[in-house]
Amino acid sequence: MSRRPTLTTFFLVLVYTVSLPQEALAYLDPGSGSMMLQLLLGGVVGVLAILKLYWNTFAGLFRRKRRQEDSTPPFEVEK
Amino acid sequence: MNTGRALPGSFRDPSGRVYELDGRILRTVAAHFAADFDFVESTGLFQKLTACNWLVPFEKADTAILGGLANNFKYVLEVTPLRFISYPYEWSFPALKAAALLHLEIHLAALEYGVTLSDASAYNIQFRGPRPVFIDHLSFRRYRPGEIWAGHRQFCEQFLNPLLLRAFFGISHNGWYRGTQEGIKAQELSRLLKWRHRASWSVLTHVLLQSFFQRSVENNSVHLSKDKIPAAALPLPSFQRLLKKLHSWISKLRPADTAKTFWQDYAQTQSYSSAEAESKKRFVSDFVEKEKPKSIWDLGCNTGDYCIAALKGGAEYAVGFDYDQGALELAFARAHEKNLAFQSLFFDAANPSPNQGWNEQERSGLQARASSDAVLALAFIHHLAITRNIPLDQLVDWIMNLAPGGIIEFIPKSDPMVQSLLRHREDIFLDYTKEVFLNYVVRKARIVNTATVSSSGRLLVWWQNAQTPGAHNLKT
Repeated sequence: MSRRPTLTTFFLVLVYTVSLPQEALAYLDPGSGSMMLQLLLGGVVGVLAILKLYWNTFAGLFRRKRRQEDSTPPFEVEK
Repeated sequence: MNTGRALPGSFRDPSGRVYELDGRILRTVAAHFAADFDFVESTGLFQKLTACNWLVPFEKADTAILGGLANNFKYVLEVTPLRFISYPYEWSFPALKAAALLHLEIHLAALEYGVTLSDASAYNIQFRGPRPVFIDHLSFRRYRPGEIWAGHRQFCEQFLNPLLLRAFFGISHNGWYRGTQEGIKAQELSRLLKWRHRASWSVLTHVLLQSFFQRSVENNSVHLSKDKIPAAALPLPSFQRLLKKLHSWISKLRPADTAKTFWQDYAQTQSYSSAEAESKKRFVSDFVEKEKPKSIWDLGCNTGDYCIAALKGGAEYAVGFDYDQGALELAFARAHEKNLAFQSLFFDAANPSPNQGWNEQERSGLQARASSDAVLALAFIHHLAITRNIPLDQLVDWIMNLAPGGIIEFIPKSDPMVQSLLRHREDIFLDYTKEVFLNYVVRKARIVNTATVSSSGRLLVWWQNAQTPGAHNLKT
């Protein structure tokens, strides 16, 4: 965890605030690409949400790389 | 006579369905949607939109009217029927553009009343002459502040991208659109774009970014679920700005292929002098005055000269069909400028719109919608018979099955136009003569009158059937 609790806390609070979900409103599939684009066009709130989505991707990549360097799980033979 | 049925094209939106009963068009409002409908009605939005002629008017009908045809509904709305149903893949560029702009204008007006549209299907719009009109009263529901535009993807696919195909590349949307039925996906269009197209904020957002984000989700770079979309994702001012910018962009779009097509120069290249054109128009007026068709079709309408002559002669509504995009644009502009009851559609007679969509019934084919009182086929049959090798007997039968009466023009081989069609081809058209043609006509109908209207021997044949062919009167 970061050693600057004030900034992280602020960021987390903001992200959780904006993470309140939309109601499912339409019979129509809005399209994931369209939803993300509108997040971007919506302003700061949306831009943060987009960053959060992509952050998980990058963080995930980084974590996978580290695990490979540490140790490889034993190969399991299926019976 | 109770011949009611649910229209096969009305099923996706569970808030209600459209029925046809004895020629009347009735739309149910499902019980679970009634609260939303009541809200929209209470805002006065429907009155405002119908007063602007943007929305088809309706009245609440007796709920017993549909009998056992429908259930679980609260209201029945009786809607003014339209003269002719057409589909976005039959519209010309200016018609699709007008429809797109109307959709955006309606959405902006609705937001002023606290209402939004739940979708953006191009099939929610029909035409009265050159004027688009919205037909889906159940698309409107209460706007929740900050909600995203659920119809944005659909708007881009069904309105924007097909217009861009023509504006950027000069490729008309009709073939592609008819094939997919639901327009053009951003991911596909984005693959075609060149650098000069990309250098635009509008293209960047609505085509490239949307496509990029869609790909990210589809190849799992990003996991997006409904709970990750914030409630106040798109504030109202941003939403309105989005719609206005789209409106402004689309209103400036023009086809890339703006050079005059052959058919736009038709006035100069046709085989008539202006006196001959006038006598042809007079023949059409005489026909209309005598036979009094309420609605009339014109196959190969070009820029609409004879549709307009028919309207002047007393016809109430004219639908023109043509293959040439340039001619269709001029036809649309003429109808728009003078506010004529004349609608012009793209069509290839050798490949007309078929029944298609879900269960091959969702969208009706051209012949299924043939319910006009008369059909004109002027300066038309030689293109099909000679250029497209359609057998003359089948062609004459096909035309005469479309309506109970009409005019067919026979263009003889001595005519300069036919001679140019045959110039580089072997003349294999042994039955293409006036006598054989007339024999084909009298097999099915009686000839009321004929007239030779050009020095090259073009013959107008006014025919009338003994009985009306059985055409379905389908309106989706």
